[in-house]
Amino acid sequence: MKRCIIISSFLLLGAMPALCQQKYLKSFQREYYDKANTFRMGLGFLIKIGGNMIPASAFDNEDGVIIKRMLRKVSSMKLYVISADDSETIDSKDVHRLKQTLIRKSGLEPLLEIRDKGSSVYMLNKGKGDELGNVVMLIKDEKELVMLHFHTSMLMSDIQDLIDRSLTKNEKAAQ
Amino acid sequence: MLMLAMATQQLFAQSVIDRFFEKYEDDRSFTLVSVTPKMFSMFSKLDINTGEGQQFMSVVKKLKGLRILAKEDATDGNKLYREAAAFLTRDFEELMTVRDKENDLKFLVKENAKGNISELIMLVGGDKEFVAMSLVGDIDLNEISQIANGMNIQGMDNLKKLKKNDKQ
Repeated sequence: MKRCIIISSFLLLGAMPALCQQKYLKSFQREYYDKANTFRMGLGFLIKIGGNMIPASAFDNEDGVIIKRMLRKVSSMKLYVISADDSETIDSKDVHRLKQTLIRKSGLEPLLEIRDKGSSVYMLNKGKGDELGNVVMLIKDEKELVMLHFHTSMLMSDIQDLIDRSLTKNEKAAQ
Repeated sequence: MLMLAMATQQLFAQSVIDRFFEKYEDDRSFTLVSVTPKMFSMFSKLDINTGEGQQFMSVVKKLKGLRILAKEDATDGNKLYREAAAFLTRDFEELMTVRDKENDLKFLVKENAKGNISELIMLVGGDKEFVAMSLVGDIDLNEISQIANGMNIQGMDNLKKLKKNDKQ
């Protein structure tokens, strides 16, 4: 029993950063319950099916192997959507505030920010070394906000592998 | 006293143009692009072995940060241009100034201890447009002007005006 408690505690501690980020995303979505349509979906199950159960041959081409390999490295994924009827409901300042909260309280680091008129894209992550780790993307257009949170053990070398394969494929196609 | 000295040092460590960016980065009428040093550090671990990709990556690997603040249909483009230019102290050396019927364009650079360019500032101001861009890293003007063709970002085409001989 004691061992069980210790193992559970370590597992919980390991999941804490991800849970922490989810807490702020959930709480932000809750603020819009009365003002807009909200939708939340855990995609972890679908990813596990895609990564483990569907054979690579089920995909049309050799990309299947790469897709499967990438999917196996994503351990959890959650999608949060807030959809409003007009462009004023989802305030850009609120999204900016959420980004600041994620940086301050969850220890996420900003990677990219693009903002143009009513639209904005924020990408943040928290990972050790080359690992992408916890990634949060906030994508806002005039009437909709999509928040994507996933945890992955994907490394930059995996992305390099993806680029190399894609380039080789393009070269073959060009010949 | 020590605390005050440290706080003063911290204040001056921040680039002057940073203060201009901070003033307007929350203003929603501006278009903002910000690529952080962490993102560039992640990019630096990638290699692309095709002609254009290789050239692009060799430039990206040396960069540490990119920020663009732009305003389309800006009625106050000239005023913003003058304000941004006023933020720049003697730390920056003027590289090139172009004035045509529509816009003023200014490139400024900051050198590091080795004499290489560590920050490039581009300012564009006119009756209808304003762009401020800050590029931080180990910058080769010739390489930057070459990859500017492939960048579909407002104002970046002005970088093509830079040539290696502009700064030696």
